[in-house]
Amino acid sequence: MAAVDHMKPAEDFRAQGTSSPSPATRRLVEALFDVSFYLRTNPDVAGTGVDAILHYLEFGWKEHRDPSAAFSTDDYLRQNPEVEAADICPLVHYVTAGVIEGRLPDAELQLARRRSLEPARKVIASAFPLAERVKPWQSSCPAPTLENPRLSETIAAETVRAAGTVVALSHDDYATIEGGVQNSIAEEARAFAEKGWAYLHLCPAQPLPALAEPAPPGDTIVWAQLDGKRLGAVTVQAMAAALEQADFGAGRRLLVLHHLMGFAPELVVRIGEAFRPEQTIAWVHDFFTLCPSYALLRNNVAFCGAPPPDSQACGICVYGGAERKRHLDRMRRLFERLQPTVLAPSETALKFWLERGRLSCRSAHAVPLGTVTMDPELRPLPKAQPQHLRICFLGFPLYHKGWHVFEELARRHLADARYSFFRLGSARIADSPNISFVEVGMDRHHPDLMIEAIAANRIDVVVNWSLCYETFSFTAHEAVAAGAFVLAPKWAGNIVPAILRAEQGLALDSEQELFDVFASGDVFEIAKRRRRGRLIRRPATAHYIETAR
Amino acid sequence: MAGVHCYTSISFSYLDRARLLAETVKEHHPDWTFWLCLSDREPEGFQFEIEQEIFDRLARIGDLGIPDLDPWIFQHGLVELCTAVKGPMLCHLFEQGADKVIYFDPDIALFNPLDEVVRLLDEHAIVLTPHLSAPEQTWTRIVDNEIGALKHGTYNLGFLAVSGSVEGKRFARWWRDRLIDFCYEDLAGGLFTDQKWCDLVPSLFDGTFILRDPGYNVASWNLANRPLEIGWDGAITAGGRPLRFFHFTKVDTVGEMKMEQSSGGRSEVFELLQWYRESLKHHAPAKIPAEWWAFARYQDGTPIERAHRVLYRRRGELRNRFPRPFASGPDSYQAWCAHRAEMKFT
Repeated sequence: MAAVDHMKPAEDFRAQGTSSPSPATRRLVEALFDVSFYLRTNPDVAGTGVDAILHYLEFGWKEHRDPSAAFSTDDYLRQNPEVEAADICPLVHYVTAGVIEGRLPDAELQLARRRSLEPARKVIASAFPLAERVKPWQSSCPAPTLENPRLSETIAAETVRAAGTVVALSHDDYATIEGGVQNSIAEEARAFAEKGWAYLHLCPAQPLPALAEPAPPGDTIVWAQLDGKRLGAVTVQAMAAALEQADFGAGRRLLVLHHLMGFAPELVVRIGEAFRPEQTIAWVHDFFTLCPSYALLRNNVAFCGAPPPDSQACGICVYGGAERKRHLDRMRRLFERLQPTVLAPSETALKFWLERGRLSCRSAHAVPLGTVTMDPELRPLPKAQPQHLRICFLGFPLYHKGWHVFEELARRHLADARYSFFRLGSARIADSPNISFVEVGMDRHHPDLMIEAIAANRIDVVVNWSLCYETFSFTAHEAVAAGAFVLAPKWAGNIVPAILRAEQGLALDSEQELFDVFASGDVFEIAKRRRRGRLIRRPATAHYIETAR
Repeated sequence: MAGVHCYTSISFSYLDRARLLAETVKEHHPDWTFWLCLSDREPEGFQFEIEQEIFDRLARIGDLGIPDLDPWIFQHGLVELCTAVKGPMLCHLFEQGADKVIYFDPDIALFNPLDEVVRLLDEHAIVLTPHLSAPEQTWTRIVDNEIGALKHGTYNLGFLAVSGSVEGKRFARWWRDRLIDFCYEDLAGGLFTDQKWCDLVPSLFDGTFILRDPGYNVASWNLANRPLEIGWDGAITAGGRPLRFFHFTKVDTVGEMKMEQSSGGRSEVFELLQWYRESLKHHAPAKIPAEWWAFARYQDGTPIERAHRVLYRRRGELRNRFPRPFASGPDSYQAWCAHRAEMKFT
């Protein structure tokens, strides 16, 4: 039985939408109303000498103004459409329905919690089990397969005289899609080509956010490209047969598994057995080898640490249960059969993967995708204004990259003259209050665009509040190289060693600690000493082969 | 029949919850006998076959030896009835020879074994879990939770464990008798179904154990003092102790608002809630009309007003005059109530 149920209906207050708010209604919301915030953020109201609370109750909420930094009128109406339909002021509804009238000492705390929970709750509600997750990805018309009886000859023509041949697998077409991993693969392909190697790349014709089930039975279809030239769509079995027959001459052979999303591991084994490489490399760009949630985000909301698949955490996770057990079994068999050399882009990621993964491998090494060298000759641009900091979020505004934390930080400093907030990224997705968007394109031929943009926009501090255990983090490296000071959470994987190594960042214990350094102004002192540097990118496997020699 | 028996009590509208509860109990205690106590009848077109269900045994309300069953049922609302049968069902299981009996509300799910409870019953007759095991610190929570517990009962009767000892059976008989006569939601009258009665248990019976471990019976009313955490080892804890079972009281918006207020800003409880809701979908029976309860209506399909039930409960002469209270037609209790309403009697 429920012990308590004190909720009071809001009907009593329904009429107030059509008449002037009563003093009783005003008193009701008083404790949650921040008058100075309201007047500061609504200068049009401030000049009129009107009572801010009455203004909000009568007009403000209908114009989507906020009564305090902690309460978003828009969010509340979006989450409770029946409130808007009934013409009830959202703050009045919250007070009467959520918090009991007459006793509001911890109501503000409750509101702050509500705000901080809201993004997490949205993410949890959008975490779907496998079948629903895969559905939007599935194309109704499968890619037409290339009937090429001379596939092995086509491959052999390029490989027979090559210094070596790489067969590389990743989840999408690196040649047309920009991204951290894709750019590293492009770099790797270019480096191998320079050394006279042939580079055969395969990606699933049907991209998926999971491992594939063989379809047609016993097979899947992949896009193949050789040295940057498209061969077309072929079945994995046809590709395996071609690799079995092809003449690779005396060159070396490497099978490189960058990412297995969209592949059936059983068919990857078939490729490996047909190709007979001297070495198979498996990259830990993320943790897809350990869980279908490649960033190990339980229910998309919290980094889980890859617990045992029969753990309680996996039991309540949309990626857990039978799905993760089968995923892990298939990965385990693949690693047992191919005995790959495991490469991780950082010591941090490697240590984690070895401790938590326990998959069979020949050996395991950390191979950074880049390094930052601080350069005393490169000076950050002089500050735009003294006693002012320009604070920035880099990249897509995603929950697991800590966008909600950055938004909350910016919201807390609305109309605070000490700080300006920016997001630098490739696409304007949604506008946020108090955050200016600066478009920065992605172009692998100009890989330092972001570094240049951070410097040019005179960014002082980058908040890199990733919820994931980052395996490398290009953004952290780019921020440091651009002369920005980086604030990150202690649990964010390789971000922490990267910023500490450069002596240009601080790892914090909690969101509260982050908010505190801005509220107190301590961040001015913390972020004082800054230098610029250069980010030297490494061509992934090609770099490993070069240095391992 | 010896061994540990557990049961839950439902109408068909809670079948999904009971199935999920049974699944989680079976996962940790496959050796326990799980009973379903059913206070309902099948709607047309729906067949309930216990052999097809996860439950081991079925006890229908008619199996419990309750005298004058129809008039007795009529006096209760849905929640009151499903609660009132808990006492007779406990006695029923002891009569069948059970050594230890554990009751769970259907909206509970187990996350860890309850071996400790079974061990406690070797030395204690009754194990109760309190709503609260730590004092509240804020005004709102004092009013909501502490005063709430004073009103509704100190112990949460979503869980109860009783041994088949002499004292355990003495308790079972007492509880059965009280619930047959006084299992109503009547806060002004000092009653809150079966729950308030158990405030008396530590004084009336020897061997009562108050299980204050924060991992047991975690719910919106105590979550604030028992924060849920999920470690990298995959273990879920409440207040630093392994989460034994969570009580998903009200998974609607009101329940969620309570969770929000007691979550301390942590999102784990919403993950749990999402899992629970999704799991319920997989356990929902087909062909049960929404809000179904066989005893909700008169014979002619008219919904029974609560006031009719309360009046019938309070006036013995009406019970004598209308021994078949669900009947419709001339000379029925329904007709009597309609006439009374027409005459504007109050």
